[in-house]
Amino acid sequence: MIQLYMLALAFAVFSIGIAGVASTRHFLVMVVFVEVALSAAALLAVLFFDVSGSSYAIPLLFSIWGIAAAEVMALIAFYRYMVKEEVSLDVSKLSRFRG
Amino acid sequence: MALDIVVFALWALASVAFASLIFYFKDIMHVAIALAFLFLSLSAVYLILGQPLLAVVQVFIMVGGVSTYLMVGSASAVVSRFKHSNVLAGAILSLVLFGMLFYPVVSSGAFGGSFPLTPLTASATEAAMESGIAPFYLLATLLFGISIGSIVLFKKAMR
Repeated sequence: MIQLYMLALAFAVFSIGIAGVASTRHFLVMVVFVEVALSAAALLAVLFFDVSGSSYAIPLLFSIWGIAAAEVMALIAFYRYMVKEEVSLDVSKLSRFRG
Repeated sequence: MALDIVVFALWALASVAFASLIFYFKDIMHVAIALAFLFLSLSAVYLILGQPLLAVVQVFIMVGGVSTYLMVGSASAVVSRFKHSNVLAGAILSLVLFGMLFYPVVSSGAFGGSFPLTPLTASATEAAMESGIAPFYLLATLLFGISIGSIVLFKKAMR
């Protein structure tokens, strides 16, 4: 069985990540909070491994890490472009961007 | 057993604190550093759970790859600095989400027993990794310290 305090940690970090995505206005900080939520999901996968008794946790974890890394790489490229083209990083102002 | 819980509590508090600091910092570089420390704390939690290979992979991929790339990418562009999150709204939303997610788990009564350590990677790496984990962590800590130092020097040079 899984210890409740370990589950509490995973849920707490996940909640902070999701709350951050919902409450932030900065493009890159939203990416950072998504990374926080993904790492909490990976921790939950490790905790539930013992309950399911399967060995699918390792490929799942490597998938989560790979997706997190690929996402950051792609979004940093977008960030660099936005800074170079002087597009606002405030997502609430992006709707005012005229092409 | 009590020492295990104290050590876990310290690293868990550190994880939550570093995640919360992301709300507070206005500078993107500081946000990226807080994220890196969060990944380090979660790596320590993996060690406590008896998963040394996952802890090392977490350090290599998330701290050494993702966080470093985030720091370099944000440092090489213009460093933006503005109040990007409402801390109070974030705190309230976090607590509400945590309550909504965790209450069904607690009320189900399905969790809470002792954790039988059955490492994911025991069959493949137990003998090799558990005896050699310390050099990896020392090297990772040294490299991470070097990256933080380089950021400090970069910021001084930019002034």
